[in-house]
Amino acid sequence: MLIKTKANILSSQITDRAVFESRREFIKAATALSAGLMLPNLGQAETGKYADVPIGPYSAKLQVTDREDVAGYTNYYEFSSNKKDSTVLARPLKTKPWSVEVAGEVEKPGIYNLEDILKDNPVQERIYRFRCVEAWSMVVPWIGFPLGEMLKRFNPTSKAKFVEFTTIYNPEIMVGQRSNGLNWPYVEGLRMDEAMHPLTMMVTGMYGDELPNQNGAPLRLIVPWKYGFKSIKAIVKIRFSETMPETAWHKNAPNEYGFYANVNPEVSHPRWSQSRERVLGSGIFAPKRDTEKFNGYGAEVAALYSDMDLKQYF
Amino acid sequence: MLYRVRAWFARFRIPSPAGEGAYALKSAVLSPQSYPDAREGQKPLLSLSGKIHWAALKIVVFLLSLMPFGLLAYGAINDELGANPIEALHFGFGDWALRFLCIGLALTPIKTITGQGWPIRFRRMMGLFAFFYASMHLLVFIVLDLSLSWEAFKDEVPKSPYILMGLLTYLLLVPLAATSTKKMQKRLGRNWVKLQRLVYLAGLTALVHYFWLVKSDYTEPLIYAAVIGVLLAMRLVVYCRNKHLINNREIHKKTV
Repeated sequence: MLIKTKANILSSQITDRAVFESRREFIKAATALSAGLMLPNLGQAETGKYADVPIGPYSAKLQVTDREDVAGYTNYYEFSSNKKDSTVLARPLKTKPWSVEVAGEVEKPGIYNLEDILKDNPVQERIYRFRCVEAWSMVVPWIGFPLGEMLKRFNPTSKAKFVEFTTIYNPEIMVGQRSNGLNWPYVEGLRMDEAMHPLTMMVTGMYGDELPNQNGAPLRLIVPWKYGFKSIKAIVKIRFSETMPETAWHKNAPNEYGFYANVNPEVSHPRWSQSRERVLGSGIFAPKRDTEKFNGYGAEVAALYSDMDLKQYF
Repeated sequence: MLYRVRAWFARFRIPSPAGEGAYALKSAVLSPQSYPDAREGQKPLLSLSGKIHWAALKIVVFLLSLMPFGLLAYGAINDELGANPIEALHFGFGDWALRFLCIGLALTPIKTITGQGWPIRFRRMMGLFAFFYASMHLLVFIVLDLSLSWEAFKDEVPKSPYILMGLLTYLLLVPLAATSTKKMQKRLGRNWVKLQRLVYLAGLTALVHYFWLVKSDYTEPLIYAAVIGVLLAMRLVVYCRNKHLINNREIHKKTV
């Protein structure tokens, strides 16, 4: 049995109502405009499965990237290293029914149906920045719930220092898993305090609707202050451990991709600068944006790393 | 074996206009007239006067070579290049620079295998298109990606070995394009041939540039590496064989 906790904070308590409403107005205006210009429709958020979920805390007041760009430009190496191809290649992946194995240093291990998880964890919408390690970024209205709330219900033991996530392994459908560009299945991990941080989200939808397959349906992680590769897709296993998990990109190139992977303009990738980022949808002549430390979430998360040298633990 | 291959290809010969003898096949062995099956009962595939269809063919090839530019420019103007149009332009031009480099490098081996000399006439155009697409690739990087910002250039370029390798490749191509005219060819004489051999090095540095930017999936740079590797290896084979023949002749002379 999962323990019920009190309902999540409503957006009205956090976000200024006028701001909240102006965002909706912006979307509506953009929809009218794009309909007139025969441009991609921004307004899908209003009609999907999660059209009326409450706005959660930490949701940023930012201009949202076009849904079409977010859904048409994904790094999903299980299908392809081409960001457009995974849109089509991911279609055959069956995401219902879906279950998640919970294992390791936890009092309630077992196999949980996603539907049951969702019953216990009401969803909310949060607009977060998303910064890829490849120096591009976007702003996405994710639908999901705080990871920490979900993890607490499994009663991790005192030995649980890290959480490890694993993506589904299915090379019949995930054609990229047939070659060994990365060690499959994809594994990611967080330190326990990072996992329990209220910014960290388990995501099931975006733009008011369910996640498209190429964006990691049916269940993915979003850690907004870390590079995108930390935000693992199509999760089938969550394991609590005492030792730091070996993660996929780190295993592939340990000098290039660290376990922490915090967004940091001061620490370059060995092969490119991280000081700036290309904001998707900002137009062909727009200059790049200066990357913010912790992707702009420093006020919330910098304390987690106060005693660490971020150049060493990149 | 090579004889049969060349004989088969001889039927596709395009008549040469007078005065372009420099490009015509000089060797009697390679001349189509020496292949009976190509000569008998078959007119050359194209029977217009040489000069007219050379001009026409050059225009067609020129326009075809410009098509990738046209498509990418059209896509950029109409916002059809996806979520990251600058990257699409940047990678698109880079890909085509590499492809034209491959095409340019393929013409001499094609002559070696088929005995057909006429594709060589497109070598200058292919080389210049490689340079054109490389220039567009660099221009997109400087103007759109860095927004002409010296600050951004200073920060991003030195941190990035693959960008430095790309710049080196471009610097290798500049003298080749600058000396591509017939006038320069005449003026430089034998040195022109030596200078133009820089293209082999540019092919290799372009490959390194590509390999260094990839995160983990090396499929595409490996394909280019295979193509360029084969094209350069064929030159090496011809070079070694010629050297061997010359050595043999000299040994023969001495013994006689």
